[in-house]
Amino acid sequence: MSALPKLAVEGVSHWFPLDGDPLGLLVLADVNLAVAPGEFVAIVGESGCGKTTLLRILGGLLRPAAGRVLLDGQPVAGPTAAMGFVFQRPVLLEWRTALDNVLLPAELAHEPTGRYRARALELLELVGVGAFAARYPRQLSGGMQQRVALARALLRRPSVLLLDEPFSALDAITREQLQLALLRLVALQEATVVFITHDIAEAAWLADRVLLLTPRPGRVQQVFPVPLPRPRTLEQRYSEQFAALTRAIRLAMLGASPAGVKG
Amino acid sequence: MATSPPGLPDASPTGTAHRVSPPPPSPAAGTGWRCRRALEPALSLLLFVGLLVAWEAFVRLRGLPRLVLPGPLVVAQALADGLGAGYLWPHIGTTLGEILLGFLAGSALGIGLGALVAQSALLRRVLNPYIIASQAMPKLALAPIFVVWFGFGLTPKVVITALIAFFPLFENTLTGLHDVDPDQVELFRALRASRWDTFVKLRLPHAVPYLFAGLRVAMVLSVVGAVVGEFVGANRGLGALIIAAQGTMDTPQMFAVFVVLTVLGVALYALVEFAERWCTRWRYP
Repeated sequence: MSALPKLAVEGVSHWFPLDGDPLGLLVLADVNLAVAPGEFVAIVGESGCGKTTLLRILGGLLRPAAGRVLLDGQPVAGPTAAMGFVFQRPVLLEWRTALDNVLLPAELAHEPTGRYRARALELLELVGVGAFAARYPRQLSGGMQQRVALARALLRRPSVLLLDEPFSALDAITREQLQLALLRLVALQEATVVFITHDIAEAAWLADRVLLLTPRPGRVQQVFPVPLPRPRTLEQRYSEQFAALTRAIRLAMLGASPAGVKG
Repeated sequence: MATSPPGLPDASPTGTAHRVSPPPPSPAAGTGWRCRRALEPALSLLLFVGLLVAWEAFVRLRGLPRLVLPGPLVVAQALADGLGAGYLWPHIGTTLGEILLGFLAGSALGIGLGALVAQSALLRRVLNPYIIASQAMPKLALAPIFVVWFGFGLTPKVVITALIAFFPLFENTLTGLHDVDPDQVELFRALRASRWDTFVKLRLPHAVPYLFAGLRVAMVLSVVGAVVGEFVGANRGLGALIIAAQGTMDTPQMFAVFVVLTVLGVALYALVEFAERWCTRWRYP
């Protein structure tokens, strides 16, 4: 890991106001995390453990109640062009074609979209929907829409990509295809990635490190380095090494869960 | 309106729900579906002819005088006379002018004020009871006072038509601008969109189908507004012609005007629908 992390989370805690409770609902408790440049970090945890809240704080969409986030050593005060988002749902604008949806970030930054056209088309090609650039979202399947959303996130070459369970709504085959597309793109972009998921296998297969959050309030329970070499292949998913890793993560998760087998 | 197109929204003057029409059925269904679709216009036409025949038969069998209920042939004759001799045309022109002016002014005002009020949640809450009250208030009841204020010319008809067209647009603009997917708002925030860009590139395009739902209702109501405005006090226009025909007990002429008004209403509605299809092509891929 280099001296200066790309992204650093320092003592971040967050709570949401709750009716009749002066303390509110504590969702994140003193989270610390450093992501090296070019690193792919996956964050797993049970639903409700504050994964999405943490990602929104990372992206500057939410100001943490305590602690801070540093991007290249600078505090993050709000959304920046250096970070690209992919949400759980594709969130495309229905009245725009796939191409125009991908161009949206450039348009909203008041940059001439003409300069980005070629790149947008190339990205659509890379995510596997090049033939559908002129289609409207309504004409695309859920998987194709999420591919467009991925292309949109990468348009302005963000150095950090934040993904919030982006493939959770897709069927297993489509999910695998999109995971491969993501790995390809990330390698090409040399982007730093923070990937939220509740799918342990997905996290282990994609990431360099898997961070396990405790159930609410979320804090980093354990970090699992992934020993699989890159580029990742589908065969790796069925290797013993991989099975052992996912098993270890699952057991750690059970151990921390109130319903688990903690001794 | 016997020939009103499918999907005509609830056009009651106090109706507050001007729903966005559902997207058309997917054309994925089989060829049997397509065949039936092709037959539908023919069936509609057949029904129309059947109704006319029944009407004519009813009038003849009962020996009804044309003062009470003229048969379709007599009405057709009156209509042909009116159009052929040319005396219907100026009245059509007058009424059409009132409808269009009122419709345009009312919708423009409705969209403009709706967009303005949508900018502030406080304003929206403060104005809400007034919006409901003004929806419930039958606008046509105001026609007599407009005659007092604006006389017998074009103005009172345009004002009442505009007033009627205003509310569906005002309400649908408010709803359309407000009903945006929160995730899309979050996306715009993540992309650091300005308030203006969020309005122009997210809220407004999202509201377009709502606006057209409002425009369709407003178009139909505008015809009612103009005619009722003419009932109350006018010497020109199709409404005035109905009153005049009532005075001379010329029922066939009255029916001829009904036909003209229906055709006018359907044509204007179709025009709005055409514009809607063109402006929301993305909904009909």
